[in-house]
Formats: sequence, structure tokens, C-alpha cells
Amino acid sequence: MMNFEFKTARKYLEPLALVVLVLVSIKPAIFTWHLIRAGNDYRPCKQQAAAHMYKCLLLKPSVYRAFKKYHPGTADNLVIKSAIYNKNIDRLKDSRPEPADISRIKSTFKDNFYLRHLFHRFLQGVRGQNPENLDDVSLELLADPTMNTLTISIFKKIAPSFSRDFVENLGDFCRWKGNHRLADYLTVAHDIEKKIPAKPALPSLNRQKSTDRLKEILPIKYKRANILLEKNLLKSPGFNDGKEIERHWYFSDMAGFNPFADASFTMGPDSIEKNGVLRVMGFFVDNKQSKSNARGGAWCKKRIPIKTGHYLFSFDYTTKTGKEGPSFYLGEGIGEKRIPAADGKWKKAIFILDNAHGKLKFVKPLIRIWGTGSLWVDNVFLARVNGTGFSLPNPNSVLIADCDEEKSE
Amino acid sequence: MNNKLLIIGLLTLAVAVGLVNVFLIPPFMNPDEIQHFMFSANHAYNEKELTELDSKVLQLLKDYKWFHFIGVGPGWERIEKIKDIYFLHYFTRERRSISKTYFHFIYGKILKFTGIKNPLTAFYSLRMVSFLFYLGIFLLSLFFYKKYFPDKWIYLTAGQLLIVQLATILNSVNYDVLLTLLGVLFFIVSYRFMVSDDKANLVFLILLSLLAALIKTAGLLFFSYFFILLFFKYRINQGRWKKFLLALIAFVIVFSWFNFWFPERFFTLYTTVFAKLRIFTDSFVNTNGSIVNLHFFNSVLDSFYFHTGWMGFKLTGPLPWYLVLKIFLLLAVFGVIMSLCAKKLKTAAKEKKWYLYVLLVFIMQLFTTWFYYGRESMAQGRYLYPVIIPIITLIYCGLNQIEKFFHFKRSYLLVSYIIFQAVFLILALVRVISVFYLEIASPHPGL
Repeated sequence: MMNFEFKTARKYLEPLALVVLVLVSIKPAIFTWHLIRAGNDYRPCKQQAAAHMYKCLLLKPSVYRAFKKYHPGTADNLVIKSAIYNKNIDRLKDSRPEPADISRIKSTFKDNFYLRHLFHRFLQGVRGQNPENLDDVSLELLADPTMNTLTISIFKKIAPSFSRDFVENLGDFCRWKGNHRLADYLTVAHDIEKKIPAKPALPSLNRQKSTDRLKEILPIKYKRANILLEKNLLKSPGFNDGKEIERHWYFSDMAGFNPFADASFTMGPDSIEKNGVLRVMGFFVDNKQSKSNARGGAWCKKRIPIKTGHYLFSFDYTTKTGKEGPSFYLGEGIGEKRIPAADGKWKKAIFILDNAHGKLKFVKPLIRIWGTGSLWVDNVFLARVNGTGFSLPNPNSVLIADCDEEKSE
Repeated sequence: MNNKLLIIGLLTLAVAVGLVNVFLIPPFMNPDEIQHFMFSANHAYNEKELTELDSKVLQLLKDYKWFHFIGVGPGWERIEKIKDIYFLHYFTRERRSISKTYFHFIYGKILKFTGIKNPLTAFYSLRMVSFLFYLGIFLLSLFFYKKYFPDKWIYLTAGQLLIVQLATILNSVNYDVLLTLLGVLFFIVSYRFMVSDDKANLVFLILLSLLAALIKTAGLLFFSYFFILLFFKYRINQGRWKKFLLALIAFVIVFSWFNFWFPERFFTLYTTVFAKLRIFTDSFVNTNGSIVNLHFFNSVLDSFYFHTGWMGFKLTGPLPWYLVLKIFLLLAVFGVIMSLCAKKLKTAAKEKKWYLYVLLVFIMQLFTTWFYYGRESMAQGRYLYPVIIPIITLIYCGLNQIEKFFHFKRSYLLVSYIIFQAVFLILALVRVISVFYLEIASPHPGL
């Protein structure tokens, strides 16, 4: 009898236990799915990864520590940003260590989580660190028009600790992002005299015009009438589509964390005369001898395979302040190439890569700045140079030419 | 000679080989021992002690001529911190990296438990811990070979025991020892799973693959071995897809819970592995597979047997030692192919299924090693140690098949392989002494 009961019970209990096990495992399974997706997306697109990280956080708030531990700064802010935009902060509070005493801060914004975070960042300035040492996500949050009330309340509280250069650049950034209210507030509150316009008044450079100019310059400089260029190997060279830029370029942020010096940079699509361009901004830089100099810019996502021969790399650029310190980098063994600031004019940087020995297998263009201000880039071009007997006057030099004149420097 | 005496003899040999490797190789002279020791120490000491440890370990490196043997050029006297050693800057103890795993947590906690503060004693204690795991690996392998390969277990056990580099790596402060232990357990349970219907084996296999992922990135491969095994066990064309599905569900459940409990480790694993995969696909497509090179296979095979001191010193001498070993391996490969082609797969016996399974496992492990390290000059044979059971059984199967083909009355080929390995082991130990204690081998090749 006992044996019968046990067998009968087992017959029903086993499937029941299995069902219960499957049901209680749904949450970890969804969590795992998002964790894998976050891991997959993290390197190529941090924004996409952040959405999955946020989902993970909702399922298990303590995972915040894991994200923060291995990806301090970036993950931290991405997660926070995702959380803010999803307006579901309360569930995160338990997992997050209290950064600062903010009980006396009043804000009309319903979520004070963002306030806690930023205020903690800014309070670092009181302890001898740079409050301007913000990453691109924090900067975007600051410039978000929906958070103006909160942001302005923060600025009223701690703004005096910011450098004027930073505030001016932040104002430019706000205008770039369409937040004119905050830009105006910053200009008035800090009594910033606008000596230089936020954006240079320049004609747009379409791709055809740029290529024609390149074809004009090359024979003059290299004294060959028939330099033939193969097709452009770079994707989204004209920066006309924001999504395409995100697909093919990413922000290289070598600032604000070890081993780099404190600094803040950002990058994104912008327009000049309705023509799409890529913009890199430097807000503040505090280089110290003990650390590697800070820099930020746009890096091509994919490595581009190259063959034996010569390659031409060129792009059009302009700068705002003259302090930007623009440069580009193509890959290991080529070295960083510094180029002069353009002071509000369109310039064309041309570099011929000598790979006649065939040692270089890939290039991965990176255009960046080392100082504060803005750099606009357009019409990036990388192509194999055709023709035999091609020789270079100086293989390491970068040719800088005006985009709209015959003369070259 | 009876079995009991043989086992005692082999065990004594294993203890001797293990202890010789623990104490003969100078401190930190095995690959990556510094990083693993420092990462482990992170879990044992406080901030002040760690700062002191850094300078004490650096002093030990200088005392034991570590820079000399590694081949660091002039200027090393001025190095003040371990992270200043140019090829170790990625492994500073502060850095959160993929290299930090639960291996370091376990070793660190053991160190904390012992309360040892002297760095040299602490280091040798951790090597002794590895030695215990090494003995565990040896005993598990021995009992596996004895139970499932009763005719030739002595050759299999001796064949594994006499691999010099295996003993060196497993007796060093390195996560390879724990991964190899899990690997040995995994393949023992795999065999049992293949020949029996016990569900406990399935759960055990899932747990082992997950634990392996917590110990080292390469442990992720155990998942694929698990799926291959499932395929072999429940082939869908045999109408056993329900069991296959249930096993998959079991895997997903346990896997999900592990991810839920250890998100930190798994998130780091995913970011690294997916990034590597992208680089790999880019490289493979763009170079038409030209990254496959003989240098890689040579480097892996040589260092599988012996390449001591951070891949600095190999066996030299009048005989082409490594070539002889490669000839044995080549014969084994031919033997395995002959064995698998002997009959059609459908009519294959369980043993044959096992050989096919371990062959796939070995190919996958080798391919992954190539994928991960193929373009680096330092691809090492130790990356194959987690699949040591498949490798040893394949070598045995291959050489045995060749003997059968030529109708040998006795196991001449297997015996000569074992004898050659024994000679190789003795010469390797002589080489270690000459390099580190007599300096006959100077000048060193350097990194």
C-alpha cells in the first residue's frame, strides 16, 4: 500500500517539481538572456548594451556592482541614463551605495537619483578632484532639455567651481544638442562674452566638391598627372546619417580614468549648412605628468584590410578655438599624426601611407583632439593609390591644404 | 607485478615528479605565476600588506634572477613596482580583468586561512596546494583508465604522468591546474554518461562546465563539449529527441541560475569572448585563412611536452627530441583515423563513439587555441591540458591501432613511446637544473 502511494505520488510530483523548477527559473533565464546581449553589444555599441544592462538591473539590482566594478564610469553612466529614461529608478536605489548627503537639495524633478549621481560627481571637486571630469553620457544628461530645471538647480548650487572654459564649451554643447535655454542660462549666469561664434560660418562641403579638390591637389603636390584612386574603403564617410555614424564609428574616450589624465570629451553627428558632419568636442583637459595625456575622438569600428602598396587617407576639417590639437591615427606602426588647428576654415588633411613593404595588414582610422574646443570632420577618404612607380617626397608628412583655394601649405 | 604494487609505484613517481616541480623550478619561473599569485594575494591581504608584498615580490624576482632568465634587457634594476615590468602592465593587481577568476578567490582564501605573510612561504604554499590538486588529477585519471581501459591502463597512466610540462604547469600557481582537474572530472563523467543512463551524470556535467567557466575563460568550451556529448548520447535520428530536449532544458535552467548568481564573472566573459569573436571573424575573412601557420603547431606541440621558464628553454642535444615525439603523435593520428574508418559509424561500438567524441573535443580545443593565440608567438601546449584525458586516450587508441594493423604480438609501440617519454623527462629535469642552477644554458633567449 505504502509502495503504491509512493509511486502514485511520485508520478505526479516529478512533473510538478519540473514545472515549478521551470517557472522559478524564468527570471534567471531572462536575466541571462539580457546579460549575454549586454556582453555582446558592450564593445561595439554601449548604448545598446545599456538597455540590456538596465533590464538586468530590474531583475537583479545588485548586478549594478558587477557592471560598475568591471566597467567603471562608462557602464555606470550608461546604466543610470537608461534607468532615468525608463523612469524606474526606485528599484535601483537599494543596490546603489549612497554617494553623498543630498537631503538638503530640493528639486522639482521627480527622480532625485540623477541628482544624487551628478551631485556626487560635482562634490568630487570639493575634495580636490576635477568636477568637470565628466564622461560623454553625463554631458548628454546635462544637456538634456527635459532636465533643465534640475540641471540649473545643480548649477546654481555648485557652478562656481567650474572653469569658464568648461562652461563656455558646455554652452556650445547645449546649442549643438538644441538646448538653447540652458545655453543661454550658462552664458548669462557666467557672464561669458561670446567672442567666437558657437559654430563657424562656413559653406558646406559636399563629397563631390571635396573629391574634386583632392584630385586638384594631388598632382600639384606629388608632381604626377595621373594619380588614380580606387574606391573609398570607409563607410559613412560623409557623416550624413546619424545611425550610419553609430554603425561605423565609435567614440574613443581616453580621458578621465586611469591611466589617462582628467578631461571630458564627446563626439556625435552635427551639421554645417544642413550638411552632415562629425563633431568632436573637448570641454576641459587637465594633463598631469604622471598620467597619459587625455584625448577623445571618433574611431572607425572595423579594421580595414590593406594590401601592399600606397594608400591615401584624407579628410576635411575645421576647428573653433585653435586649442583643439587635432590629430589622426591609422594603426600600429604608423604613429599619431598631429595636424594644425584650422581656426574656422575648412582644411584638408592628406596623408599617403607607404605600405610598399606590405608589413601593415590593417588600418583603423581614428580622428581626435587633445585639447578643448570643437573639431568638425567631413568627407573622410581612404583608398588605394593606383599606378606604378609612385614615389613619395616624405612618407611621414601630412599635407594640409585649404579646401577652397589653389594654394597649399 | 600485481596491480597494487604498480599503483603504489606510479603514485610514488607522481609524488616525486610533483615535488621536484614544486621545488626545483625557481619562484615565479612558470608562465604567469606572478600575476596569479598577486591576484590571489588580493583576497588574502589588506591594502598595506599588498603594497609591501609588491616590493617584496619584486625583490624576490631580483634575488632569483628572474629578469635574467626571462630575458629582460638592461634597466630592470630600476624597476620599482611589478606593474612597471613592461609585459606585466596589463596584470597589475588593481586592474579588474578577465584574468581574475574564482581560482584566485579560492587560492586567496586558502592563503588567508593559513595566515602566512612571508611572500616566499606564501608562494610555495600555493604551489603545494597546486601539488595536492595535481595528485587529485593523477588519482582520478588512474582510476578512470584502470576501470574503463583495464587492458592498457598502465600505458595511459604512465603516458600522462611522464608529460613534463603537464607536471610543471599543474604544480605552479596557475589556474590551469583547477581547469585541468575539472576537465579530468568532466571527461570521466562524460564517459560514464555515455555508457550509462544515470541522470545524475547529466547534472554533474552541467555543473562542471559552469564551474570551469568560473575558473578560466577557456572553461566556456566545456559547454560545447557538453552539447557534442548530448548529440552523441541522444541522437535525434534514434527518436530520443525528448531526452535531448529535457537535457537542454536542464542545461538552460542551471546555466541561467549560474548567470544569476555570478553575473560579474559571466558578464566579463561575454564582453571578452564576443569581442574576440568579432576580431576573429574580421581577421579570418580578411586574410583568407593565411594566419594558420606551422609555427603555431610547432610551438603548441613542443610546449605540450617541455618548454620551461616562461617558454624560454627547450630540450637541446644530439637527438631531435621533439621530432621523435611528433612522429609518435603522427602515428597516433593515423591510428585514430584507421580506427574510426574501420567500420561505419552506425554500427560503431560505444568505445568507438567515445573516440569519435574525444577526437571532436580535441579538434575543437586545438582550433580554439589557434583562434585565441594563433597570431601570437607564444601559443602554448598547456592550453590543451584541460582535455588531457581525450588526448591520452586518443594517443593510446591510435598507437594501439597501428600495433593491431602490423599484428604486433606485444605493445612495442606503446612501450617505446613510454620509454622515450621517461628518457625525455629525465633529460628535461637535467635541463632545468642546468638552466636555473648551473647557468650552462646562458645566454638565455629572452622573451
